Amino acid sequence: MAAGARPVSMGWRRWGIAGWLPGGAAALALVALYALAVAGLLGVAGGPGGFDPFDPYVLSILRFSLIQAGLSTLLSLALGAPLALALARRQFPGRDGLIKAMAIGFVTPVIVAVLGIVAVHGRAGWLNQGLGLIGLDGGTYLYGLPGILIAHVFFNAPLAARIFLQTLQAQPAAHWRLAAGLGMPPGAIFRLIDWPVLRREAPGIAALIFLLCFTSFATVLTLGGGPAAQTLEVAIYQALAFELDFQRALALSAVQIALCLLLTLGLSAFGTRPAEIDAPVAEIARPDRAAPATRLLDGVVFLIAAVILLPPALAILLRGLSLQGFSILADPNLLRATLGSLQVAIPAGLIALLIGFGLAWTARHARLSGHPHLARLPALIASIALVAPPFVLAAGLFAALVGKANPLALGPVLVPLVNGIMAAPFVFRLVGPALDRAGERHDRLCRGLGIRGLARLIWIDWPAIRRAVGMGLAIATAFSLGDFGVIALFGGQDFTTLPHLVYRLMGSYRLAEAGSTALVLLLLIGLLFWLLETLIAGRRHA
Amino acid sequence: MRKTTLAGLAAAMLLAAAGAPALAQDRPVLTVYTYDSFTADWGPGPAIEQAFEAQCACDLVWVGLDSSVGILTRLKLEGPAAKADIALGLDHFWSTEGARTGLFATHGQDTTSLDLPGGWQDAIFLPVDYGFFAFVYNKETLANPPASLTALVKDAKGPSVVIQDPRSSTPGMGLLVWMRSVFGEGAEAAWKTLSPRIVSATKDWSEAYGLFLEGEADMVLSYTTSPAYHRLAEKDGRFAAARFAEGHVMQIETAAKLKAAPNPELADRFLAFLLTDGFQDKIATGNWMYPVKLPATGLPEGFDAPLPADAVRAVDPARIDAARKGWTEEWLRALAR
Repeated sequence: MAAGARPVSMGWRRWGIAGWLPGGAAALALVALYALAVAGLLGVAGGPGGFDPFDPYVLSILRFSLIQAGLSTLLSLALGAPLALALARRQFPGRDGLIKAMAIGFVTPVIVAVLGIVAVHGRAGWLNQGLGLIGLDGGTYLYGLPGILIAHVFFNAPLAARIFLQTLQAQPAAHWRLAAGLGMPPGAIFRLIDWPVLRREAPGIAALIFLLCFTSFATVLTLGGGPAAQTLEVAIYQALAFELDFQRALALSAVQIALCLLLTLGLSAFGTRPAEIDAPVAEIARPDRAAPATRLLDGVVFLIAAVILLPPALAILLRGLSLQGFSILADPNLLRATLGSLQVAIPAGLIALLIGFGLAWTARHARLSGHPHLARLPALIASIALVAPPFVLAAGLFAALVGKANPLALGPVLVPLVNGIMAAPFVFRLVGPALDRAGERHDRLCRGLGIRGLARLIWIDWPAIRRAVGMGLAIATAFSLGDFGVIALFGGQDFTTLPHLVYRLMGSYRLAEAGSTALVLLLLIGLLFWLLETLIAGRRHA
Repeated sequence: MRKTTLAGLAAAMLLAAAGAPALAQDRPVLTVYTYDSFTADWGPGPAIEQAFEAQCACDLVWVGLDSSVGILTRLKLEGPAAKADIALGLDHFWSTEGARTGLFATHGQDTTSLDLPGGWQDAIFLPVDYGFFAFVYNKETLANPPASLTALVKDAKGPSVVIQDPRSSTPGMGLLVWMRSVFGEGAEAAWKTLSPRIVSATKDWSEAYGLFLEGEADMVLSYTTSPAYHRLAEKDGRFAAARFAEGHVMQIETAAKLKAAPNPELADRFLAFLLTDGFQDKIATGNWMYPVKLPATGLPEGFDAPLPADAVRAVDPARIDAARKGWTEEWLRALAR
């Protein structure tokens, strides 16, 4: 890295500490925490032992998991990519708001989204009611693979669209000037400008969505209809919470992690790195906007996306807007849960940012300093964080620390920590590409002028990555705000969050209040997105 | 230890402003692990806390965990470091497993005069409330509910149901026991017959009940007391619990004292309190279960009387403990269509 114009005098600079340290520290911290969790669970008096992690039941759910996660990923990308293209081409009032709202589906608490989907696709849902008007009966088509796919597309297609859109809009201005100057037809613009971007980003997004669907839990249990349609995560929960067999839970987690890593590695082999681009980025009116063909195409895409994604969202909104439900607004529990949620989500978002950014920074450093194979390591570690079952991590850390601290004090510390670790891959996935682009654009300049470390981050990289950082932080924070799994393990009278309150209300027959609480949660998530993206990403939005 | 954030501080200040009792550091603390919905504001927890604190000169702290089995998981994870005095809410299907952990002491209470069908023998786990599993339906949409579990299972054109997964939900486990008790070795075949009409087997009771109220199935596995909730709390009389000829399986929720309880005397006083009106009269409309010792005021108006003894299907918890894993595997096999 010291190959620049001036000799480097200080030793630590020659080793590139500023490049290796952030990711190295993040990776070490993660490895140490996982090791602690495993040791903690192994230290608990064991279960029966002597099991086979590959018994027929586990094999059958593995097979099903691969199928549903594969199909969910394909469908999410098939809808997300055209949607991103259509959004990149079009300007219309409310576009920014729509784009922000798109990430909300992804962080909606599962139970809320599931009931929204049921209200549309269920036996007595809108679709069947509509069909009933014209004398048809759709029957019960939801439960099983269809329901799982509908839910996963609802969660992930908007996420895919947002990530695609972010990179589609980061094209160098020169591309558009050239395209306009040559009078390129829309087909050529797609082939020469958009397609390489989509192709470059698709494997990473596909891996992210695949892993999310592969480890999906409550969605699959509720809409899967029964034990024929389940995921390994369910078997892990069963071993941990039901059979109290911690060794089996660990072994199954290892199977899940190993399998997911293999798949991620396989997918990353398809990824291509961006060509070195040395041009400023600007948001320019695309020359293919006016073509009738793209107008028609985008219209169709918007229509399809609206038909699939809007009704469940509308159902959630309508469910939340009820007089009976609004009684929750006067309940002090709502305020307590809101503050509790922020108390979890803000530290979790920051932890995710630290880990995700650290890994992305070092991955870039490795690539730029001639160690491209090492650059894969941070991506691998980020994937582990995504697929390591949160229950196992939380329970393991709890078991490891419980002898040394008051168990009642552990929840408020471990819940943000585990949530932060789980959300770190989203930051990594969003910030990584932006950082890489900035690196490719400015690396020679930086080397030439000897700009490194913090100075390089602040002066050179920040303007190029702030939008990605804002979005990553927003998604990580919202993800933790909407999480229910980990908090359920710790609970406590004085420690509650909004998703927790939603479940509590539902568990006490109070569905209307639960619906309104869910709406409050979604509003809070929306507010958070707006705040973080405005403050960090700057005024110009995606 | 607790991380003090701005939000936490604000929460504390707001709570103090709302008139929440200040934590008195000098009073002994009784820590009770229970399942989450028990401690919710609209659950029985807060009123019970008030009643006990009025007589104990102590501070009762609830720790609400994700499920009743979650209490056992938590205690096992904590091991000897556990800070709990009492575990409240583990049901009798888990008492053998609970006793096996060696974490619990005997309760020392007299259980001979309880209003509990079938009486009670266990010396470690003390019953606190009970209920009967039942399929709940909407009278307006299902005019002729099946009269027995056998009829529900055998009638291929019968009503559709939502149930819970026995691996994560206590009613789910209850149905597993019920099916085994009625069909014996034929349970796997019975599950297979019912399987096409099982719309979903959800993780928790909440999801199943939510799907049922959405109109996704004709019946939902719940408790005989569920219609009383709709009737009393929502003034909605459309719901009923189907009475099955084979009898209904009971769920008995229990409490037990930890051997390592930091405040053993206080824990004993709480165990004694559990069988008094201070606790029992908050069960019916707080937890929507039956009190094990009828309070002086009796059951609330409009709350159905418990099923008569001949409508109860007795099951042996020790047998369930030994068979739980096998039955669960059988269920998985039968439903893995």
